[in-house]
Amino acid sequence: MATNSYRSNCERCSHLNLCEGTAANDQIAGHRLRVRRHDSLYQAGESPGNRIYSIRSGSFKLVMNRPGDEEQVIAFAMSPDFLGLNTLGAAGHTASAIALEDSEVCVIDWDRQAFRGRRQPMQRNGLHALLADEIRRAQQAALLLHHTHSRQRMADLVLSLSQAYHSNGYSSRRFRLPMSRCDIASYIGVSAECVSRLIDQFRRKGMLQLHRRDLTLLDPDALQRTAAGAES
Amino acid sequence: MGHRLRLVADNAADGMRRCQVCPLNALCLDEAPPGSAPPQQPCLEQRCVHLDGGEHLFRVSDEVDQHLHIIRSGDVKLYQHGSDGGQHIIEFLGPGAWIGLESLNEEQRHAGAVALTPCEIATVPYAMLTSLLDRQPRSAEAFGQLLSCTIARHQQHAAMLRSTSAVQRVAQFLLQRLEQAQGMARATLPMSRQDIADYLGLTSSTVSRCLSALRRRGWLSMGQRAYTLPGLVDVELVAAGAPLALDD
Repeated sequence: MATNSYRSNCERCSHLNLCEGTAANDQIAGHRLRVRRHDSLYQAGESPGNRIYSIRSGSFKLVMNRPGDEEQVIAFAMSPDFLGLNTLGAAGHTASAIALEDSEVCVIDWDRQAFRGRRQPMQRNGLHALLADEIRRAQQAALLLHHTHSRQRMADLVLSLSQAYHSNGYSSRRFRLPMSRCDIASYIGVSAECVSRLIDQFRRKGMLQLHRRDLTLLDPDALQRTAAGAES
Repeated sequence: MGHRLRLVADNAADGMRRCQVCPLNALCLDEAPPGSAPPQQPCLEQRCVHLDGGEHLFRVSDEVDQHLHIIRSGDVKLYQHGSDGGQHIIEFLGPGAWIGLESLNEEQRHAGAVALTPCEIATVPYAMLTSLLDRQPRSAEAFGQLLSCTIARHQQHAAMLRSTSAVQRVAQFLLQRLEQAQGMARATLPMSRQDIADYLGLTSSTVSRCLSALRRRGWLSMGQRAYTLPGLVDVELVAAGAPLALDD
C-alpha cells in the first residue's frame, strides 16, 4: 500500500531523506498505520519481517519479558524515534511495542530501502546513522542505570520528555506524561512508591508541578543540576 | 605453460587463504561465480594495528576518522569517563567483534577503546565497506543486522541491570563469555575485578564473593588466565534465577 506524500505531511517529516526517491512520483516507500492506546504495534516473539517503524505521532513503551514472568519497560519512544531498529535480521522481536496514546507510525521496509539504496547511498548511510544513534542511546541507557541515583534518572526522564515535546513543536514547560507511574518505575528500575516519593521531592523543591498526568516544569535548571548529580 | 598455470594456482590459493582469515569474510557473501578470480583490490586497503595491553585504540573525544575496527585476536574494553574520574565500562569485546559502529555518524568519539591483552585489530575505511555493500546486496543486509544486534545486546545489558540479583549477573557474565569463546570449553577474564564489577553494576567485593561461592561448589574452576565451568548446568540455573547462598 502506498501513501500519498502530500496528504501525509511528508515534507514535515524529519526522516524524509530516508524515503525520498525510493518510490515512484510523490508516493513514499512506507505506509501509515494507526495504533490505538494500549494496543500493541508488535509483540515479543513475533517475526519482525523487514519492517521498521517511524513514529509520526503519539508515543510507545517497549516492554521486555524477563525470566520469572516479570515485565520490564526498557524504553519510551515518541516522534521522531524509530521502533524496531534492534530487529534487523532477527528471528523475533525481543520486546513488545505498546501505544501509550492513540498513535501513528510509518511502516518502512528496510530491506527494500537497502536494495534501492544501492544506487542511492544517501539512504543507506541514513539507515546506518539511525542505527548508530540507537546504539549510543542503548549504551547510555545501560550506563545511566548503574552509575546514577534514581533521582538523577527521574530528572533525566522528565528533561528528555520535555526536550522531545519541544522538538515536536509543543511546549517544553507544560505537557502530559504519557506513561503511568508503574511504567516509569519499571524503566528507571525502582518501585512505584519510590517514583511517587521522587516526584513529591521535586515538587517540594519547586522544580515541577504534577496534577494527575499534567506536568508543569517550574525550574528546569534545578532539574538539569539534579540530573547531572550536582544537587541532592 | 606449466609455469604459468602454477602461478595462477598460487595466486588463487593465496587469495583463498587471505579470505579465510579476513575479518570481512562474513560480509563477502555472494558474487564471484566459481572459477573467476575475486576482484579483491579493496581488500588490500585493510590495515592491521597491533596493540599491547593497556594501549588505546582511540580515546574519548578523539576525532572520528571514518574507520571501523575488527578484532582479530585479543580483548578490548569500551569505556566512558565517569563523573568521579573513573572509567565506566560499556562492554568487553573479543575476537570477531567490531569496534566503532556507534561512531558512524559522530564527529567525536563518545567512548574510548583500550586493549586488555595484546591485540591484533584490522582497520577498514567506512567508504571501502560501503563500496563492498554496493556490490553485494546481501552484505548490506548482513551489516544492518550487525548494527541491529549491537543495539539488542545493549538493551539486554540494561534489562539485566534493572532486575537481576548479583550472583545471577555474575553467572550470566561467565556463561556469556564462554559462549563467545566459540565452542571452546574455556574462556578468559583478561579484565580486572573492578572492571567486571563496574560492567555488572556491583562492587568488586560482591563479584569476588559470587565467584568464590561458585568455586566452593565446584561449579567454576579458575586457572591463572582461563576458567571453565564444570557445573555448567548449575551455573545456568543460577543465571536463570535459582537462589544461591553467598556465604556459608
